Amino acid sequence: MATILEPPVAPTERKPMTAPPSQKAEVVDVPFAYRDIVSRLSPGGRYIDGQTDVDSPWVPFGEKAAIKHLAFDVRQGIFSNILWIKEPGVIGTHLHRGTILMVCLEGTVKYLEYDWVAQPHGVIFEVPGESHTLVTDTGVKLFGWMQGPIDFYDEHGTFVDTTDVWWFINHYETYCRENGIPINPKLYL
Amino acid sequence: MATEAIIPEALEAEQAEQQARKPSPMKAPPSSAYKIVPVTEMYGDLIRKYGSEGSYVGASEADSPWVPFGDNAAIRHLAFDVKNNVYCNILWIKGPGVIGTHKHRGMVWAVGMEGSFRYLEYDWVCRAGEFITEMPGAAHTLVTDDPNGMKALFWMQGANEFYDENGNFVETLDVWWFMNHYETYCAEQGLPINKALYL
Repeated sequence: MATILEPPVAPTERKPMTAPPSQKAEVVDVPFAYRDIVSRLSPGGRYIDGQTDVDSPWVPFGEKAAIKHLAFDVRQGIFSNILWIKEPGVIGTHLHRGTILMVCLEGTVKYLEYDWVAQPHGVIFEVPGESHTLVTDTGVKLFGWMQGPIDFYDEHGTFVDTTDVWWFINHYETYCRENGIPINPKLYL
Repeated sequence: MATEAIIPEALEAEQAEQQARKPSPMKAPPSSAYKIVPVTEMYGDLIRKYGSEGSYVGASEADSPWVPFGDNAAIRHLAFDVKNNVYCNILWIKGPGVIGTHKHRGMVWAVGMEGSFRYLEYDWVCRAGEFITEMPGAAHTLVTDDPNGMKALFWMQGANEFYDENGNFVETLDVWWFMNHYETYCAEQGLPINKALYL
């Protein structure tokens, strides 16, 4: 059984930062020895517009719903999007193999398995091993940052398909191809 | 049970159905065929376009050299992932020695390969074939007392802050430092950069 030995007392007590130390609205040059490697090899951060279809279109997901794809990361199996269910409806029972973070943007949404109803600005956290059935009584827009496969079942509990980052890329690219919309490289992390 | 007295047949049938529906865990790989089995893949074209086959780094110094890390140690870099700030390498301390106190902001796992090493802060010793993890927030001091030192494979994520012997912060090391360590040595020695190290 491993134990942690008593650490020596630090020479000086440091106080936690209580606010950002600079209030200046200007670019401060940060000393960093490896900036040339970062500029050569980092994929770089980016901004995706969510208000318009300029960066990413609404892609139909069944008759009542659509998905606005925001990011794909094939290295980590991550996909991010806004799910829009336009009227009262259901996303049938599914089981998560990864971790999900969602933010309710508009409307309300619940799972038949849980006792809460998500409201705008509410945050939903889902973890591997959970299966549940998404229902909105009002319509809903949900921002999601999702990792790992999602196994979908029909109403008899029979496994149908696993969706993961490849399914989401295919969903986006197929729609773009069919509608003559150029693929946006910014969505590929 | 009362229900058994009322409708035992119905209950038995229900239990049998529940049992039949309960999936049984796989107990061994379902195929032992020594051949490539084609697997249904609806998105193979996307996987080939955007994915990666993974990497192989051989044991020779032609694949990745030992890069000195102080007088008594060397690092053999095996992987860099700039998206996740992940880096993998073998640390070799050639005789009894110390990697001074440092603090982790990310997670580390390691497997001992040769010799032994320990941290002054803990009561265990990691030897060949043994496994350790280190977690964000941990600060510790790596030592090897083995006359032949140690070798261990480290898979690391995030930042490591190094301190001097007076507890003064010196520098934060992460994937960029490790890449720079590798590339600077290659440039100085006229060695080609091995692209397989860049995940």
